[in-house]
Amino acid sequence: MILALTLAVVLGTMAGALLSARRQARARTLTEWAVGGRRFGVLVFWFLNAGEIYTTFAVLGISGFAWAHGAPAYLAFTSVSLSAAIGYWLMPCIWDAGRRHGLVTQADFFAAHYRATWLGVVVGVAGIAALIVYVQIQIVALSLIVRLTLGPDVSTAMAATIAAGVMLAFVYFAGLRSAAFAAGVKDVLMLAIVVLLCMTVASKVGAASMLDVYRMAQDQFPGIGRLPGLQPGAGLSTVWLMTAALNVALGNWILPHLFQLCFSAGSEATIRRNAIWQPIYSLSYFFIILLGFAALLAGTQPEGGDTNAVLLQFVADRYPAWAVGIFAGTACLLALVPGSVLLLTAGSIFSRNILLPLRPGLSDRASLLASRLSMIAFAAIAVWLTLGGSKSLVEIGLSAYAAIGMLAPGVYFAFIWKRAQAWGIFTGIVVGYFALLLPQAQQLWNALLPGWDHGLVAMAINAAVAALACIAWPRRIAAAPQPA
Amino acid sequence: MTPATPSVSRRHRWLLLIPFLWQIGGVPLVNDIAWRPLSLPFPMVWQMAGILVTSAIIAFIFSIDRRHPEFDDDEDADRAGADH
Repeated sequence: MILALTLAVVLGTMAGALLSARRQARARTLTEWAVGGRRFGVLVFWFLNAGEIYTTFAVLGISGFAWAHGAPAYLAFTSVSLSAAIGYWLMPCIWDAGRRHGLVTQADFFAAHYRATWLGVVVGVAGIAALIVYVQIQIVALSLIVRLTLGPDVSTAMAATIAAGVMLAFVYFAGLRSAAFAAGVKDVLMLAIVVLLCMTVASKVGAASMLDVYRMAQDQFPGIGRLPGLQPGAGLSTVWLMTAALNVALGNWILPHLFQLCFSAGSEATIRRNAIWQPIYSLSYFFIILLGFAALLAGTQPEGGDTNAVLLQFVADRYPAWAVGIFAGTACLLALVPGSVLLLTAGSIFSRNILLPLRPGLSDRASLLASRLSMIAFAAIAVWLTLGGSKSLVEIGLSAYAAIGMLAPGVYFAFIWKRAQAWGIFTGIVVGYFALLLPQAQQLWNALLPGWDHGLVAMAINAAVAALACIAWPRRIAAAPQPA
Repeated sequence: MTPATPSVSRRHRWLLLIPFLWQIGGVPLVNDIAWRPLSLPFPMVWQMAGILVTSAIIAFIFSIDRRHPEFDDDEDADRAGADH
């Protein structure tokens, strides 16, 4: 019953998405496929953006985080609003650059603005790496659901592979347009499920109302409502929240798929208007954290202590099979829709910014094919990463933000500083990665700046080094037109 | 290509710093407040209020900006972006 309903939700959405995509012109070029022809109006654009908020990171990750830690989950409340504040200013700049230079990918932007195709290649690789980490989040979540619906006999490896396979199938036919339809279905379903769960959750844990669940949680688990939360040893202090929130806000639009989403908007007003409403959507994290706290009160123990499985376990324990099935199906969409957008983005960056500069004679068709084939490789790498570790979705998410944060100085400098040039930015990126990944560096940050989000530290160092390098090495020729 | 209105002041956009002061700067200040509005932890209510404040500020800024778009709403520019 659970499996049947799960499949029904997923396959139904796929069918709907295919039908809606087929009705529009078939994608012939990479631009069409990846950017949807640059004509999305307010509603579709909002859905795609809002859809980015309701992801596995948001629902499964944050509820699990609330279950395990409590107050650190407030990170969710800061993420969207602060990103929107930055995006209000930044996104139209990106959009304008996109339509003036005919940009399709984020790496295109770097190559065009800094007039250095090689920088586009570097940025392309960095972007793909961050995207694969983000895909890993979706694969982890999907494989949990696969194991829930098919039974624990399915090995993690098989579950992850099935997850990757379904994700690839999901995006294969019309690219971004089918993702838009599926995102709409996902949002509506997820909202309905969350509302349904929250209306009934209070009685499941013996509370009088949703607010009473919060009261009970704070009474039974003192310290849950304030930082550092239930596990002080985890280092999730006020400093952590401040620096992680800032890092997420600064890095959000640098994530390649969100960066490129700016290219699809119809107008400057569409983007700015969207920035007003986006934060409101994130108030719904109130319900996600509520569910996490309820799971805690109910004594939910996910298999193997995996915080990512908390919400799934809670629902499976306490709700009838039909509700579990619909929830599982919707949770699949939560992973499939963003996952497919991520793979799509990675594929187009690969063929356009890595393959094409190396093999300039590539035809449009071959380019499209290479893009689609590379997606399989990236999905495979994400599966491999999944099997290698067992971190919480929030931790993996923060690593993705830390990784993509390396490109942030390059983007921000491009719009505010005329002296920014390719080699300076590149130097910053290299030093930044060392600051982020070198174990000695990590120990140094833990000693000097306890509690600080490492991604933010590395981004700051990156920016400082890039600035120094750009001042030290003057820009070569300023003949081409620059964005004002 | 020049922007649509090159000489408009955008100083009101500095208001966008307020969400950061509220939601990040406020964290250590509100963390230990024990009051529970509607039985909810105060730090959480603070963040949710911050979201509303942010939306309001962005809406206000947009109401000023929409009279003077920063970029030309140029249909012809789309031709440059139709194919790669």
